[in-house]
Formats: sequence, structure tokens, C-alpha cells
Amino acid sequence: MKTQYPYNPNRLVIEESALNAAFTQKILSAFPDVPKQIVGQVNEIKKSGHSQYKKKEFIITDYKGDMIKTCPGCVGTVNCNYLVANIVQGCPFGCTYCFLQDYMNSGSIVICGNLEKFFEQLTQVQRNGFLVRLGTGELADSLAFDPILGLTDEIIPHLKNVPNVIMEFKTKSNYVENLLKHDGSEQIVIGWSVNPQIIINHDERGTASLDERIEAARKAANHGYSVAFHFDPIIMINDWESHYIDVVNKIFAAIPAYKIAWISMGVLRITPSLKSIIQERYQNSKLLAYGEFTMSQDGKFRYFRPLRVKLYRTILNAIRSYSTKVPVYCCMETDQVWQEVFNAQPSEQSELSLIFDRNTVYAGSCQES
Amino acid sequence: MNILNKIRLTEIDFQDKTYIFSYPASNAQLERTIKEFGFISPPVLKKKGASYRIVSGYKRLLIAQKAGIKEINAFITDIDDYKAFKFSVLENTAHRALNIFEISSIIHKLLNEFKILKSDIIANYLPLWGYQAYDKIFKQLVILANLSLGQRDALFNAQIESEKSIILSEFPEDIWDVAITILIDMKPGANKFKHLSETLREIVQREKITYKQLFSEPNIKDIFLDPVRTSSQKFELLRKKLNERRNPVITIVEEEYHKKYAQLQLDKKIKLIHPPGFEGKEFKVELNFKDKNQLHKYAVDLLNIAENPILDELLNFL
Repeated sequence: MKTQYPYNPNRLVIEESALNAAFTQKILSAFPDVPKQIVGQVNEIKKSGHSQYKKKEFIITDYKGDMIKTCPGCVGTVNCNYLVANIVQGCPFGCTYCFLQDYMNSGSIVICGNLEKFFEQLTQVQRNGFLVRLGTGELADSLAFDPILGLTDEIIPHLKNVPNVIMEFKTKSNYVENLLKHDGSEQIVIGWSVNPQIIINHDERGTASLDERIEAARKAANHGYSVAFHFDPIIMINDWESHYIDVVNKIFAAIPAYKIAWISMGVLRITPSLKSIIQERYQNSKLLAYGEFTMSQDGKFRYFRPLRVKLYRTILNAIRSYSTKVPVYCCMETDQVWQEVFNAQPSEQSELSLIFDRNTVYAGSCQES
Repeated sequence: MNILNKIRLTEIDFQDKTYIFSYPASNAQLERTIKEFGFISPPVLKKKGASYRIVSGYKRLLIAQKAGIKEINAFITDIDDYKAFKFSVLENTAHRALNIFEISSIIHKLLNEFKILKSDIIANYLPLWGYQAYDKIFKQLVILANLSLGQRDALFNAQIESEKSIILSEFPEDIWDVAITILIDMKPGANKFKHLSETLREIVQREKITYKQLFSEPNIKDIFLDPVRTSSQKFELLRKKLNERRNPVITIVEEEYHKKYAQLQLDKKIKLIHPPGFEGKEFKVELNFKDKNQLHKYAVDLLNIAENPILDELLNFL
């Protein structure tokens, strides 16, 4: 795998106090020939300015803060009680719209070497009898580095100790080989961000094709994992209706509805500073030319509300033509949009209790009646 | 280089622009000074075969040539080409504010003639002229070096500010003449001009047309030819037309809203403001008053508005 895999590091920088951690040692032994530098603290790495290494530089840290946090959501939007674990920060892919371009200080990949701390916190987040949804895909693609880091190999065995934690690995890759080595479990959700192939071609550089993602999802589902799909970001390209309906058709042609834990929908959202970055870096991208943007309460540009509602309804209707039970929710949307799309608030939709109600008792994934 | 040498002007190669970036070449004030006080600050030259290249003092030497002066005092240097150019840049930067055309010309020469690394130019030169060491600014300045002499002259003579000229880099070069016409004839502010450039780009990208096609459309072309409207009216009309085209759905909703709003027949001192982008649940009321009587009157007006069925229609826009 490593010889074909395109995202091997060309430099490893290790925070001294993370050096003896088992996960750090695993990474170091996987790359015996890659130049290494040991530094006292992460700040020194920033000071020494290795920005030219960018996505090929792995910085292994001894992370001091909370490794599991509540998903910040956005001002004025409905929060879905998701927890995020940022064990890896940074992504090898080149999505035009990626907020990490604006969010991360450097292009380097930051990996928490002290995984033990994550496992310790994992046992603390589960509440007896109640479900917790946790994902590693906020500041990274959960599986992009899995062929070389084997993070899922580390995490999956621990999940047996925390049965009320539903763990989601969110990705745009098709790197599921490691997952298939383990026993599949509905407690583990493999989530794929999906978009029409034409968007993948233009604005999701380096990621797996739509067909590859769906094929990977099919393998994961057949192996016993739950799968999820995230229509995010939805982009209002010309003829968007048929493009997005095609994506829905492809998903349901390959995956039985009962294997789908949830489907989310979220439109493109861009901060003014990210807009400037996109304008500068991707002058040929049409991303900003599609749709009509207004500024939302949270300071991000989104499509004009009636357009968003139309986008969501179209995709929702396509999904509902296959399944009335698969939980579908909006990501970072206002209650006003929720109401217009679903004619209900999340709390009024029983199929969403798994997602929005933190007091829900786990009863396995939904079965199509 | 510390010794002054008598040099005949005929020995100087005025065509050799290796180290020259001055724009414009003429300077009436400098000409008056030299005529009155002579050459106080000698130029710096570099030997080139049998003649001399000008390192610094190009404008002064042109004035001397024009004035029929035969011989001048000059410093002669033998430093290498890059150092000579760097000296010229630093000396000029120390004495006066370089304009954006000179800066873009310097960057072009550093990059293409002296093969200086982009990262070095960004880190070591941009701050000299008060710019932040950003890649984006570097790219913009590189593009501006492609302005023709006629385009530079037009911008310089119209005294278009640097912050506006630099936005030209966001337009394709084949449309620079139109963009310069907008800058000179319609006099937009920098932010509005930048927004216009974004709107134009998004329209041509989405509709798969060229800028030229867009500007040759009668309803756009006519704005430029309008003999009645003022420059700012022309610009606002152009902006409006392009915004309508870029955001057709928002335009329709806003127009419907404003039609309804007009039916309320509100006093101009009272404003009902919808949330930005019709996103949110609350309107704002803004009202200006001078005295108690006025406040009382507007309070009654507001109560009447609350009973007006048109208000329900406006609220429904949310």
C-alpha cells in the first residue's frame, strides 16, 4: 500500500514529550527513512517555519487540551449534538471550498501522538444508556491517512468498551481496507461526503470518485458497518437537480436503506476570508459563480434561503422516494429552513431522535418497514 | 564610485533600460529645478563597452539632454548588474514614493531579467513600498507590469489611486481598456470597483461568455454611451444591471418586497428594515425624530402600521 499511496510524509517533526507514545512509535517505525526532527514544543515548530513542506510534513504532538469536544455548530443554526475528536488535523486532499485553508496555521498535518488520552476521554463522554455520536472528520478526512497511520486499527478495538458511543469516520476517500480487517459493527458509522462527479472533478482534487466512494460504502456496509452520506457542501451547479438526484439514485442502487445510519445535507458556506482565499488560489473555479449568496447570521455566505430550501427539498424528496425511514438532517441550518424543508423541527421528527436527542437509548440502526 | 567623472552625454546609451523603471519619464518640477540650480545630485552610470548605462538619474539625464547640456558630472560604478539595479531601486525608494507602475516594472525586472526568486521579492522588496509580504499582492503587481504605455498614461493622467489600479489585475487583460474607462469615467470607489470585478467574473463564468461579449450587449454598452447621466449614476446603473443578472432570484424577491413596502406609505423618517438576506425572524424599526410631537406622531404611525394587512405580507417575506 505504502508504495502506491500518494500521501506519505517527507518529513516528521515530533514533539519531545510525544516521542515515547505508542502511536508515535508506530508512525516512526512505519517511516524509518523519512527525515525526523525532535522539538521541545509544537510552538518551536511554528517558529522554525517549515511551511514549504506543507502537506508532506507530519507534526506529531503531545496534545494537552481536550481531545473530544462538542461540534461548535454555527450561530443561529440548529445544533445536532455531535462530538468531534481531532486526533488528526489537516488533509491531503485539495477541495476548493475547504475551510481548513482558512482555519489551519500551516499546511502541515498535525497528529496527536498521545492517543491514550483520547481513549481515556472516550470513556468519560459516554453516559450510561444514552447514545453519543462522535466523529474524527471535522479537521481532517477520517480515512485519508488510514493506509499509513492505521488510526482505525487503534480506535476500533477500544469502541467495544464504550458501547454507547457511535463512532463516525467521515471521508472522501475509498480507503476501507483497514476497516475490513475488523469485525463490522453498527456502532461504527463510515460516512462519505458525496457530490456529483462533475464537482468532484473540479473542486475535490485528490479524492476518490463518486463511484469509488459508493463502492467503498457498499463494501463497508456488506462487512457489517453502518454507513452514512453527507451531501455537503451542496453546490448549485447548472442542472443541479438532475446531478444530485443521480447521486441519490447511485447510493440507493448500491446500499440497502437499512444500512444507512443517516444522511446529512448542507449547502456551501464560506466565510469572507475563505472567499478571498478561493478567489486567489482557484481563479478558474466556478464555485463562487453558482447560486446566489447572502450573508448569514453566523458571518458566512450561504445561498439565498429560498434557493437552499429548494435544494434540500429536492434531495430530500429523492431520498424519500427510496426510504421514509432513513434519518435525514440539515447541517448548520436555521430552524426556519428546517421548518420549510421538513415541515417540522428536528425534535418533532421521530426518526431523528438518534441524532438530535442525546437521551435516546440505543436500539440499533433503523430498519426499513 | 565616490569620485565624480566628467561624462559627455553622447557617451551615455539612453536606449539601454536595464536599470530604468521610472514612470513617467518626464517631470516638470525636476526640470525647473535643474534649469535653475543645475545638477546638484549627480547620476550614477556603469560602463558598458564604449558607452555608459544609466543606473540612476534617468529623468535628470533626459532633462539635461533636452536642455542641450553636453557634459555632466556623474559617479561611475562597476558593481554587478543586480546590485546596480538594487541600488537604483533603493536610492529611488529612499528619495520619493514610487508609483504602482514603477513598482510593477521593478518586480517584472527582478523576476524576469535578474531571476530573483519570487519568495525573495515578496519578503525583501514588497515591504520597501509599504506592502505586506503577501503572495497575492505580488501576483497583482506582476500582472500590472503588462499594462501598455497608453493604459498607464491614461490611469496616471486621471490620477487614479493605486488601490484602484491594482484591482485591474483581477480583470483579464483583453478587457483592461473597458475597466480603465469605468475607472476614469465612472469614478467608482475601490471597494465598489472590486465588487464589480467579482460580479463580472461570476457572470461570465456561469454563463460561459466572454467579458467582451458581455460588454458588447446593448443594455450594458448603452450605459457607457449615455450622454445624460453623471459618472456616478452610470456606475450605479451598471452595478444594478450586473447585480440583477448575477442574482436574479434575490432581485425578484427584493423588488416584490420594495413594492409592498411602498404600499405602506411610511414617513421617510420611519424605516422597517428586514434582516439581511431575509434570513432571520425579526424586523428592525429605525426612526428619527426631533421633538416629542414628532415622536408622538411616529408612534401613532407605527401603531397604524401594526394594523395594516400589508405588514403581514411583508412579514411573510421571512
